[in-house]
Amino acid sequence: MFSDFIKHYNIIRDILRDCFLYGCYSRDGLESKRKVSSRKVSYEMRRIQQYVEEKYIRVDKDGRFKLLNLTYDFMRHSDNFLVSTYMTKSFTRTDLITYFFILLYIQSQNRPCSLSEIEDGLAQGGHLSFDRISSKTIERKLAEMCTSFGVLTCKTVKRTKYYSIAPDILKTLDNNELRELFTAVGLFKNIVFPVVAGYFCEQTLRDYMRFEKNIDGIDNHYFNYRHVQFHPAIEEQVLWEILKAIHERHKIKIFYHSPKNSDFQRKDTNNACEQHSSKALIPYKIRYDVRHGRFYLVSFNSNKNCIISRLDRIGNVEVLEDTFQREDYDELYDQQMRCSWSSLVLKRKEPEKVKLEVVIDEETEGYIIEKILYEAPNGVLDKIEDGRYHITIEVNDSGELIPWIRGYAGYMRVLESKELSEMILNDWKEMLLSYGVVQ
Amino acid sequence: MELFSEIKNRYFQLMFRVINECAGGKTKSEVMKIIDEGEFEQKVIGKNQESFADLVLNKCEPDENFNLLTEKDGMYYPSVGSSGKSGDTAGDNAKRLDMLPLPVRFSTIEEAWLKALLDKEGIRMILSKETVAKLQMELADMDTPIREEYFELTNTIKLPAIPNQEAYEENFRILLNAIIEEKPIRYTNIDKKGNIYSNRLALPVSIEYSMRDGRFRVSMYLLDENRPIMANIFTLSDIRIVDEETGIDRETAKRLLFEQKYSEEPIVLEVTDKKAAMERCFMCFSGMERTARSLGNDKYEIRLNYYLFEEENLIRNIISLGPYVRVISPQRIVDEIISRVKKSISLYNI
Repeated sequence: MFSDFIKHYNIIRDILRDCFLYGCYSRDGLESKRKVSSRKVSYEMRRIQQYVEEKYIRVDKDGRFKLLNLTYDFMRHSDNFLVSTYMTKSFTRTDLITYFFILLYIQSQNRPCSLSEIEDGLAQGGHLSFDRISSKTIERKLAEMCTSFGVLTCKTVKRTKYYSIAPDILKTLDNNELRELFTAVGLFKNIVFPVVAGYFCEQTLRDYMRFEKNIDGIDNHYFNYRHVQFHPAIEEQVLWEILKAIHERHKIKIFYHSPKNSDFQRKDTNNACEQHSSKALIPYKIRYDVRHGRFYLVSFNSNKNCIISRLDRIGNVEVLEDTFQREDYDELYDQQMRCSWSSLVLKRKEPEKVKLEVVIDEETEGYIIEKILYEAPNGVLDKIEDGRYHITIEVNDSGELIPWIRGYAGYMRVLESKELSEMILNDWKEMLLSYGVVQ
Repeated sequence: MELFSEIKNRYFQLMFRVINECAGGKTKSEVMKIIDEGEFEQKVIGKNQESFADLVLNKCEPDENFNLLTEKDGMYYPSVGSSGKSGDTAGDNAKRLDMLPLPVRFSTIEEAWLKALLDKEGIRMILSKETVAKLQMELADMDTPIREEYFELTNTIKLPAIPNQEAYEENFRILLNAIIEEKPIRYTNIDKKGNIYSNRLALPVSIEYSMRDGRFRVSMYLLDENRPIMANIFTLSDIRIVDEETGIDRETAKRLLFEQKYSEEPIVLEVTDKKAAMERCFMCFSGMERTARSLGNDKYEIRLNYYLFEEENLIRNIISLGPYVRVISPQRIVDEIISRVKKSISLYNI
């Protein structure tokens, strides 16, 4: 009933991600990046500015262009403001009034009520006009409130369904225990995926304490976070669909939402996202790269090949009727992903062996060796002499180690493989050149 | 069970609150105030130019109004089961006032999340055994799809196990209580080199969780030296909450941390959109206050505001992104990167 809202979260996903991660695009820039109409970009940018709290929005100017930028500082802001973009699903007047009248009526009766009792009660009170809202609509809403929303329960007695308010799972908790729970939710809402559900939980708990227990004005901002990224929340609608399929052991089909001729399609010709939809896949696990804040789905196709898909590139997930046995893939997953640092599958018979040399000042830089081993837990360390160590790591694809090796600039060199060693050395030379330094 | 659901729409939630707030009757201006506080800054307008407040307060056409509230003697009440209805006895009123018009219940997805929370490592540092047991019993039938076995975190750091888990958990609880009560603590700490710092006075500001190593640390304002510090919770001992005058509150301590530790000059990077460097770069720094602009020819400029204690991590991160990410300024950091890269090349010339 209000045009500010959207029917599907996908409508804003890409543009929201671009505004948050990059913040360097004007309307025209987004139009050409996403290959969508200028009208669509305008609508979504306006919506995003509506949904997100003003303090996180920055509109910078680059010449005549306005750049929409969503930004925060991890020390000052511990609440993921992107979660508010999930509180925007469109609804009709009928959705709203049937939901609340049903809840109000059943609550006022304080006993299980049948559909006809609810209808009669609301009609007699003059609350609902059945010229406009059919019995079927009420019945559908009741079913939705039981199964999908979970605010009602339903019991069938002699073929008649009786609806009650769902049991209060917090009824046994005293006020101190509720406060404890509120603190715990305040901490873990940013840690347990999907975090959006954690924020919803926090809001309901706050309402519960306010309305049911008269506990008001309490705070739970006692925590801050490091390496907790906000942008993965944008992919959690897809994450949730996949989690349900994994749990219910249903195969899925995934639809990629890459625009035609998009940059990544041209560049990542080997990526699964090249196609527009997949064949039936067995969803096995979600891998989350903490450093970049990226979700990957690890799935298997009918040939038991391991397929990796980035969630930010999945538009929709179709859950199929076909089921699978998760245990059938445990060994396969372990074999394929045990030596993967992030998302690359084992493509050869054995993982690659990478040998590194680390040179440190034994007196003052011993902590570097410790740090390396914490970051590479399957690394095998050999002390060659004071200040010189060799570390051997098995990895699916040594390319995954490159950023990590670079991070130890000045301390680490690659001994094996020769190709990797050359790649890293070339990177260093290219870097110096980019700074105008000629060796 | 959808994550993107209309019942979580901000205006659905607002309607819910308005109805419950009206249980004992609210004036029009009180209702307007609740709506005003819960609405978007730019108010939503329906097809026929009606505002949400108009619809809630039944100011539109009869078939457009929500009619979820009813007005009596200038006060608004929930229209079903309201205590403002004529013919209600005092007993009815008391009973109804006792019962909320709308119950507060977790949705299915929230219950699924809550159940997953109970299995989380560290949850017992906040929830008592009794609370966990009660919630486990209430959620016994919830078949949650949120399970640790469906996730694997990568690019993490596996630190050695904490030597005395019990002491660590106790420390965590004391520190959390000190933060909640806004009280200072006295403690003893041993640093990496084995130096002992006894009976120090500090105001705990917040508990920091790192997703990379799964550790909790405490951010404090060290009152003995008037400076913010970060400490490993497990290395602290003899922690006790004290009633000493500190002359500083938590908010001020936080502000001092932000002010004293924030770099005055941003790091300016030039990123070339090659080999996904741009995406990796922006993802790495997404938690930092920043601005960016396109420079044309697949090049972008990004300005990062950062905390001085993050500088070393930042330099490492920038270098790890490779040759397509170049620091423009400050020169001090440019020089540091060049020096490290030169040293790296020299390692290959042994």
